[in-house]
Amino acid sequence: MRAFLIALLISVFLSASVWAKDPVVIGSKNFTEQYILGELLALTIEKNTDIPVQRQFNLGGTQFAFEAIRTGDIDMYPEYTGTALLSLLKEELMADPDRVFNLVKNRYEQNYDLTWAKPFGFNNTYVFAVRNDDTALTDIKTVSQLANMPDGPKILIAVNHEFMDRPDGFYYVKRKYNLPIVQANVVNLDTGLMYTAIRDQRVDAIVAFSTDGRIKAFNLRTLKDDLRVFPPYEPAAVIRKDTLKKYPELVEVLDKLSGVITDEEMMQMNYEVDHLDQAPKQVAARFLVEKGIIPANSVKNADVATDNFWLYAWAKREYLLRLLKEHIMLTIAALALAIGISLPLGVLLTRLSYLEGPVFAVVNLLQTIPSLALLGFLIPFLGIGVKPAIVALFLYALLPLVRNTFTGIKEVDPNLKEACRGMGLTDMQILKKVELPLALPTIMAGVRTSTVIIVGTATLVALIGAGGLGDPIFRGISSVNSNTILLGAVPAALLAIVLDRLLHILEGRITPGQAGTKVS
Amino acid sequence: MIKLTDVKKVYPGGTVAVESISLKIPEGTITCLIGTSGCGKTTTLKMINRLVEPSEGEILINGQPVQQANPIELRRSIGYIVQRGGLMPHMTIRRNIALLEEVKKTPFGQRKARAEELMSMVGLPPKTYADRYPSELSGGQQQRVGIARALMADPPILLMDEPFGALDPITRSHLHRELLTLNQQLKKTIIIVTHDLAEAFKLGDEIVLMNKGKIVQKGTRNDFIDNPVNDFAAEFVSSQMEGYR
Repeated sequence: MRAFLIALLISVFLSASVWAKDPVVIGSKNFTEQYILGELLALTIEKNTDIPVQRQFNLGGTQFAFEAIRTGDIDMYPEYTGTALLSLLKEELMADPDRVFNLVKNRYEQNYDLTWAKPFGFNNTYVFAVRNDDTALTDIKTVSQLANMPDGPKILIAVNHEFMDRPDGFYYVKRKYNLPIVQANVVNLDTGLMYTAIRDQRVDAIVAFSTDGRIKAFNLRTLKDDLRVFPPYEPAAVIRKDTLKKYPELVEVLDKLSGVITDEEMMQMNYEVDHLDQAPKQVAARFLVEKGIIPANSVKNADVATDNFWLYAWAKREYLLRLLKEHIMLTIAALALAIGISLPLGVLLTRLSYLEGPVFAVVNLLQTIPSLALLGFLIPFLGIGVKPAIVALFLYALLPLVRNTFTGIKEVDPNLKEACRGMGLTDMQILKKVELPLALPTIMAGVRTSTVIIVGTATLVALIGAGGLGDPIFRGISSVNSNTILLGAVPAALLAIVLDRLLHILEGRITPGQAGTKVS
Repeated sequence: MIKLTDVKKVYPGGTVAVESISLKIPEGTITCLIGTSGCGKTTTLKMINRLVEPSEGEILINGQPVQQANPIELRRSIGYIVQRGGLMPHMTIRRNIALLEEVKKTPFGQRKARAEELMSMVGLPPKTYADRYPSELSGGQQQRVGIARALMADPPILLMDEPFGALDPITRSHLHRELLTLNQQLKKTIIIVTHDLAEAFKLGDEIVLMNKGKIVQKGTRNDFIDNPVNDFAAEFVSSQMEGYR
């Protein structure tokens, strides 16, 4: 009966995320430019129509976003033509922006029931960047000049990991421009560290993203791609066709954003978010007001910029409280589900020993699947958001719970059980009155382990749009802002510690007097 | 009256625990099953309350075959006492004694009164001991609780499996005397499994010596001392009596 109530609660909780009135759900990937583009789309629709808008930002990557829109979990998100061409459609490289756009649009319409709005106007492609104050490179304005300079082979260049591996990446460009750079002078770095490296004069050139705010912040100069080697990465909104059918007015509204953003403007907006700590929503709203796309004063100003973490956290308290609530709800739902299943399962295994091997094999295996892979694997079945998140967390919580329930009951003194049987207690009565109470300290230890695992792993589910304290962590990583990272990381760690302590206290309360001798 | 006829127990895998036992136990008497480890005495005891199912033969209690009884009902009508008391470490003494009535959902006041009455009967003042936990009691006290628990539903039969095995000689001797005194009022039919001949001599109206799943000899103390039926019986008696000379 209790298990049934728990199941009921969970299903109510899950269905709460399903809206009665159909909103347009706008997604974005998890980096600054995507948040801004997502807000541009969301604000433009909100202020020009009466269609309800729901934001589902922070999706963990191209593949996650693409699956989410195909399953209908989101209705639109900003995508780059080059990414669609190379990563999703696996087509050949092409340099002409219009040809690329037409090709991806046609393919999406034919194969996926998706379509593309007109591009925003700017091109966020790869670009060589050098320091403006680097006197050795003062005269270098194009990539060809870089390739032909006498000191070429001595230049130290940093690129990120993805660029090394892409079909249009480093080796392709090196070949096209006949770059004289030797392997020993190429450094592979994380994107954020790559920018830091050139700022600190550790390297002479990097392959940057052309609209990255750090180009402006670190006083870098981009080199012209004079041979037009890099494919175009023009962002535009990818939309579900059935969404346009339901809300045809969206076509006209989205046209307002067609071609309005230049490379310079996008870089400026990225800079404002990453380096001036302004909110993506505020930056997007200001831009839209400037361009006359939404009326002035239609978005209220609320912004924070402070170096002190505690002041920052205090200023962000509403956001933080919402995340904390989401995180706790995710944890409780996954934990309740896991306990509801693990307890009967663990008990069953003590009764049917032939199930022990196979069940533990499966539960152990689940524990070894990397969390990101598991989330990615669940998306085609469950979509994005809270549902797959709870399922993933539930799966990770299983092992400690099933194992400890099983072990706890197995370890009950067989002489006690026989005394009870001889007294005339039924199997069920022995389970309820003797085995479960005596196994309780072991089971509670499993609950505590599972809780800590869930609270930690739940920071990852922000990648599939389930929210929680992972949201600021991933935002912070992508914008190299440690305060934002801490905004998620500190409460997550505290939450794990507090829940563990609370459960410990609870364990003491429900374990009766003899528990002076506790199972450690 | 408990009657065992040609009872045999073969475990899966072929181990023969009890070869063939026939035995009559009159009402109100104390019978001691004695023998070396593995002689089948505990298995014989457990077949009476169906903790072990016999492979062959018949066991009757007052003429009713136990095989046809509901095992739960059967066990509730027979008191069962094990070594060290078999007390639940997470329950108070009072709750341990009243456990069966608790699962039978007897009203709390009623089972509390009965448990405390039994505690007084076995020499544990309820005021002092009712709310303690088993780990706070000595071995002898724990065994008293075990006996009180078995008497809770006032069953006519008590099965005791090595009940005093883990106790020191002085405590054991105390409990022997108390059990005899108690049973003069209660008149229970009691079967005790033991490996201690002195204990069997002290308690048993009849003593049943077993070896390799069979009965070697049954009778009184004097029968065993004066007329051991064979070398095994003679050897068993003399080796056990040595310690007491």
